[in-house]
Amino acid sequence: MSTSVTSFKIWAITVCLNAFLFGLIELFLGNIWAAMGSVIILVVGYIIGFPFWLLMWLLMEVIMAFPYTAIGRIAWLAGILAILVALSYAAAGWITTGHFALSEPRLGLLTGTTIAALILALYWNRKAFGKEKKLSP
Amino acid sequence: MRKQISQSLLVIAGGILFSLVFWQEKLGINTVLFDAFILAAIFYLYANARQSAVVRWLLIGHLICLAMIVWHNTMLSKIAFATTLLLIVGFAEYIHRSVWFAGGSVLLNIVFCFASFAEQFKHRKTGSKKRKGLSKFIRFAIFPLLLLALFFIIYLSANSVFQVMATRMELYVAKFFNALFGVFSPQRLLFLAFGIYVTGCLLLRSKVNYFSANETGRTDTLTRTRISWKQRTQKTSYVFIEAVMGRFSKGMLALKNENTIGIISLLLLNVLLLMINCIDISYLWFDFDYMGDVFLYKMVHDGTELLILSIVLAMLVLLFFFKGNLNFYRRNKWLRYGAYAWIVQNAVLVISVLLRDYYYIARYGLAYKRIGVLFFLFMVLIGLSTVFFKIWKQRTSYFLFRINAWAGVILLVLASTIHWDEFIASYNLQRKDRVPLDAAFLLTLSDKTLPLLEANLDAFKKAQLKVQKGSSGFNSDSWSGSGTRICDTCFAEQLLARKDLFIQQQSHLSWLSWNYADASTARYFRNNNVNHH
Repeated sequence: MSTSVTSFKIWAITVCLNAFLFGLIELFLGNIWAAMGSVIILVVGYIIGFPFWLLMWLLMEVIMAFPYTAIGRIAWLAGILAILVALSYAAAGWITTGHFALSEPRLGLLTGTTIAALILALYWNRKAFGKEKKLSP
Repeated sequence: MRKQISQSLLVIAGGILFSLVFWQEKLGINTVLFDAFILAAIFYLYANARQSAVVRWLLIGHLICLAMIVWHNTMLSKIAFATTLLLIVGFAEYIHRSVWFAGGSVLLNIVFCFASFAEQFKHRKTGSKKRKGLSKFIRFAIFPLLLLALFFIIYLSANSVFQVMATRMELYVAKFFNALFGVFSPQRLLFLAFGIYVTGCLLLRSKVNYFSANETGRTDTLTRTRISWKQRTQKTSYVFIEAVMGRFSKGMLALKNENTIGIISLLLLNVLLLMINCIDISYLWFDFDYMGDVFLYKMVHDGTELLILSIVLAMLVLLFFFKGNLNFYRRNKWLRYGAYAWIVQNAVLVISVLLRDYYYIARYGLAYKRIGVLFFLFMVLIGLSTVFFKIWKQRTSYFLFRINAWAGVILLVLASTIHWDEFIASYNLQRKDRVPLDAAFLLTLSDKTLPLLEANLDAFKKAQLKVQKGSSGFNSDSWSGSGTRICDTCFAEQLLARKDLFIQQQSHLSWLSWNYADASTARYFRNNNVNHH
């Protein structure tokens, strides 16, 4: 499977899982209306999060060119993307509230669920990271 | 296998140590503890590094920087400490001769740290059976757990007794997590993760050895290489030569034409620089009255920066002419003489810039940038002498950059042994009768200078009166650390506020942050506990 398809799969699963995890946690916390927000996260995630697929594709192309095993590649992608996710939410919070907003419970939760979803999605597609990509014939 | 396990264990242990000694502390004695661990781990994991002479020299420099952190605790000592530690990592984990390439390898360590860390857990075949069992358990548990969650929520709404029980259970769980996060707060856990990342960058060698492989083929001595015309035209430098020389850059006489252009260029540049140097020598070198205000500010600020730029450009010009086969051209005698004259003239220019800086310091006192210019000029002199050596002994640009980088590292280590803030404050305050006191600048210097500044409180009061005579002085406000509002020109109040802030900050730090600079300042304030408010 090509890196574009794999990265698209990972991205799509991440958005889905993110919405599901956020809704589930809010449901456990008893916030029914906030749990409904998972539908918004799902829709908005697919629209706003689209550039993340391209970024994920680019990063996947990069790491596949280096001599690491599947676990190394997955960990590298997870680490870099987790940092980018946290920075994106922090930037969004900064723009909307004017201060470092990850300490705000709901945004902090969303950051956590996105990173967890991302790790799960990467693990789900772990077999795609096994083969080394050859740059030259 | 054993080494892999020990690597991962060492990284995790280093991360825990990092979070224990640096959490809400500043760099001090804790740096010694963490550094001892890191160095021991590096020399254990990469045993060959113990035999390397470069690593040993770097270790000496690094230990000097470490001592300076505990003694001076300046920003420069911290930068020098981090630089030398990263270089030890680069030279211990890879095969290098150049600081630049070693720095590149360390950068790869940082970029691929996540991957290198995860790689430690790969060939655990013994645990594969267990992992399969765990994976099976997770897959079998997902659906029942989802069902359980759904019915839990339904029964919670339907049965009030169950709701009370669940609420009580939730309280216990909340209490447990509150107590847990009291000790292990999310910030603390993030700091632990950061510690593991830092330790991983230092201890785990990246699998990508691009810089190490690239450096292997480089040598100090320039060798004559015969390349085909096609290869020659593909070089970037050829595009520039062709644009300038046109058809003269082609054919059998291309090298001769290049030599002629080089001689003409250097001749003209030498004549121009000779004029500049003659003006500087007659105007600046002898009997220059720097106490008179004749364009001194403009001359030094505009002049220094442009002249430094000209010297750096001059070195680049020489590197361009002596980049390849022109070094071996039989009739390059005049080109080489032109280059030597150009180097000597640039060295004279360095002295002129040095004099400008000296006059400025004598007139207006010391400041960071003025000291920075001195260091930069020293580096330029080393650069010029290595360019001379390169042309004389036919050395490569790799050699030039390598030697200059090492000179930079040595200078950084030596510069870290001086507390520049204290030096600046004492120099300027000793000459306060002759040199105008820049009170606002002195108040930005580090805490170590506070006793010295407080001993000269009267000078600050005088400066305050002088400034406030010119303006109301209360037009703009600045926040002091303790939260009270102090005007920008109330220097004496600002100084006392800084003292309060220092005492307040010290009360929050433990023995882990101990360093001589802070300890001596705190001792001074304890012994001279006079309340100026």
